[in-house]
Amino acid sequence: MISQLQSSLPVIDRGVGLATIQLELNSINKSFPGRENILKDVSFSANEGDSVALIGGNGSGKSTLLRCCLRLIEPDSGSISLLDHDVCSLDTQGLRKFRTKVGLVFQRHNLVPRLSVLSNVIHGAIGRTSHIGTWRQCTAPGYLREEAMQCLEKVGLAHLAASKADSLSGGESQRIAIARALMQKPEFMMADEPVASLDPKVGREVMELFVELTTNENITLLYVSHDLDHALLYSNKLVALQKGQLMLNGETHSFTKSDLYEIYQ
Amino acid sequence: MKSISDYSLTYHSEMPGRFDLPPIWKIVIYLAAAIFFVWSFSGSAFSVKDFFNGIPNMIRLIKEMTPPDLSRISSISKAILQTFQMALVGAIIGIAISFFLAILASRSNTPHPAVYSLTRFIIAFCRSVPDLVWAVIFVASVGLGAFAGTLTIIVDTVGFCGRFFAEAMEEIDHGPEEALQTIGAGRMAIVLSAVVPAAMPSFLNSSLYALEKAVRSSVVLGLVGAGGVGIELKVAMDMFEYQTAATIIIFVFLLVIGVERFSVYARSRCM
Repeated sequence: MISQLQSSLPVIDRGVGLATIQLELNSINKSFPGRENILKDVSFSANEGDSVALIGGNGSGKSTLLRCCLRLIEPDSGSISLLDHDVCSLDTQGLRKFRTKVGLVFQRHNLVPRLSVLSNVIHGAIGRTSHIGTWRQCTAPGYLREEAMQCLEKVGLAHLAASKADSLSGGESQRIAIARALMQKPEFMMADEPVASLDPKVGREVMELFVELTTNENITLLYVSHDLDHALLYSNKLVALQKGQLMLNGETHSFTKSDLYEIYQ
Repeated sequence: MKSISDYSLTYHSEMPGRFDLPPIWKIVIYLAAAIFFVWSFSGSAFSVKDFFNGIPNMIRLIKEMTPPDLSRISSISKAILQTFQMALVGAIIGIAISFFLAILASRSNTPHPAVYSLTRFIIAFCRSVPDLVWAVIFVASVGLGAFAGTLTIIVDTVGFCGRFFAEAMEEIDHGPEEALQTIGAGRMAIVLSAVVPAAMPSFLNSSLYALEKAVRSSVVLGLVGAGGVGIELKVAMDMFEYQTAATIIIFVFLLVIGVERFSVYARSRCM
């Protein structure tokens, strides 16, 4: 089944083996009040150009881990090095600057309702430009409008530029969210179950597009997925969490689907 | 084919009761509230007898009001226009001030808890003092006339819109905010790009209600000398010119209904 799917995939060459480390987590721990050990001593790394799949059951700490990498959630202990930044020691200004280099695509898309698709994509440039007009497409400078249209063309939805974000289907919304992340010109991309709310066909299309775009732009990718086929198909490295602990960490081709199933037992 | 009654419904867990008996302290509070309500009838001098005794007077007053006197229609029209202008300017300025105060008064956007508490206090203070009291204060401060009324409406609108704008910003889906936060956007950029568009339907709704409320308030403010048609109505009633008063009441009715219809139309277009 997987080999059949792989044969229909776009050519993805991530040049693994030549690259430097871009993400390095060392002994990350996180607990919440009433919920101990959401993350327990988690350590792994990703090289430039890698596509890393992060899998695990519900409540295993996957989303918390992604948020810790961007310090949307503060880890209790441990260190995170991402794009040569010591993430845990960044001050507010440094953190904002760092975040502009990392794209994050959410499961729920998180587009701003009532605004146009073009405005939503332009929002991707809010962090990297100091232009005050980036909050709406009508006030954005011309070069940002053009960049946003390019990003929309990359995800195949330039014809929806004037549509309202809340009028889109789930698949379209996720493509727009990817276009917004591309507009950031990120050096590292994260995705938190990006296709969980989509049907299998659309989910696969969106995943293929996502992986193809990050590959073409040589952006390192770390994505959370509950779909084991997606985890095996679109990654060269695989990390699995179980109850906050790292259970698998290695090259994707060294794991079988049954290895991954055991994580959910 | 089996009907639903053919399936045996067996279970071994305890089914919760339809109603839970509230704790004793809640029953005591409910009883105390009910007793206070009944006692309040004496405090409010509520009297069905007096109401029915007053009906002949009401009928006499209505007879004396008809037909409405249209001889002063020009001056009444000017007063009505001034009333609407007071309401419009006061409401718009009040809405603008509310917008900025509400950003500081919403938990998710305030720069500091102390700023949150201070702005919430200002908004609550504006709201808790009745508009007629504000009008008396402003008449004493800036003198008789429309400006005192306009200031009153500004303060009244801040009290009303400030609270609802802040609550609207707190109640929206915070997903888009988080998305922009991860992009590296600053707080102000997040508010303008994600919070305001998401809360806009609620802002419009509250603003239109504020305009309706301002129009109704501006009619009454004239009674304490704060400009508008209210003073015309007071003079007409004091001079027993009930037919002139009837004309003013009809104009007020048309103004309020007109603004309400516009409000309903604008809401249907914007929501």
